[in-house]
Amino acid sequence: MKLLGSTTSPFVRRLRLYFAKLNVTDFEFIHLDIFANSEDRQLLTDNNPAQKVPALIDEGQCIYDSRVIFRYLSQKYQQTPLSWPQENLLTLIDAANDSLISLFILNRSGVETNEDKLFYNLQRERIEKTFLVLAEAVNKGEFEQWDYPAMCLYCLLDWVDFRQLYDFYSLDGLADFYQKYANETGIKESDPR
Amino acid sequence: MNTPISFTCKFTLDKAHFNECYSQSNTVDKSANAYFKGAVLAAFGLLILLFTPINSYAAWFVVALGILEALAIYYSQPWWVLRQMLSRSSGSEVTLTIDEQGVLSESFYHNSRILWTDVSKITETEQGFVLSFTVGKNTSKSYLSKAYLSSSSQEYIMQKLNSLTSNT
Repeated sequence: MKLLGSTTSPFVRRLRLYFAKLNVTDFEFIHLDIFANSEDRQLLTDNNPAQKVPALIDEGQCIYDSRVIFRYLSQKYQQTPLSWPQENLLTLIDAANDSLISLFILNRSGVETNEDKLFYNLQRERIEKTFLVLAEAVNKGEFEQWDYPAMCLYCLLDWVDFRQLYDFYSLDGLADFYQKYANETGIKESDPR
Repeated sequence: MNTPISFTCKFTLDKAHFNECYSQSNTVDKSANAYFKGAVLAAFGLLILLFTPINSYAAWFVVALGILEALAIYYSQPWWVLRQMLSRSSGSEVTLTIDEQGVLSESFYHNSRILWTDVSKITETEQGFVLSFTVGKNTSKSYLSKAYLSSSSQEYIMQKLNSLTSNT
């Protein structure tokens, strides 16, 4: 089994943490720098035409998208499927992640995302709202277990902290959550810093 | 080629189910001995009240503790059932799948999977089966009612029970 990804992607890291939780060691993590290395980009394109990480190669098949890869691994290792409320939380985490990545890449491309434009405003509004709802969910005890949704939230928060994209420390619950799981299995080994 | 074993059924998490679940899987002792602690507390409170100059409020507090202790045992089932009825899962329909891997229960709010490899004990009761299993360092129990299990799925669980018994 090979996991194609980057050390910085929060979508890749959540799967590395999931592998650690499952205690699966018979997989190879292949770090790709798709922005600077054309060979890496070609390898990714050959396996995933969408050119997105992560991608999982197993038994001659390639599976795209962290969410689908999670489902695949969950079935392969006979894990409990996510409930619908957990799926909803994952959608919120992914939505915030996607918006933050869009703004991050635009900034890296030299685009001024602080301008009052519809696209930027929509991303900012989505980020604000989803972080508020995620903080409420933490306070309601929805992330009490170190399971896949908790790993996804942790990876989002740590990536946001690493890239200094959003101050979530002011939101009641999220900072405590971030501290609580800082020593879980695989966190240190997958730290992007 | 062997056909994979899989049994599926549905049931609702209603009051009747919760009551059956508690009565069949609960191990709380409700015999006269269980009330001993409450009786001692109440008697001790009365002793303080009648034969010592200690403030009567303190004595009545100890008596009340004894009564509460007894009530907690007497009403343990309705109290547990009430808490389940107030949970958001109450009223949900559960889809139960029993296969060669284990028991998977899926509802809108909660999913759980018990692997046969994690099951340490199966107890057959009058109305169902109690599965004792280990998750990490914790041991838990899950109840399956015969009311919604087909005869073939009950036979399959009995096979698992017998194999566990013969292994020990």
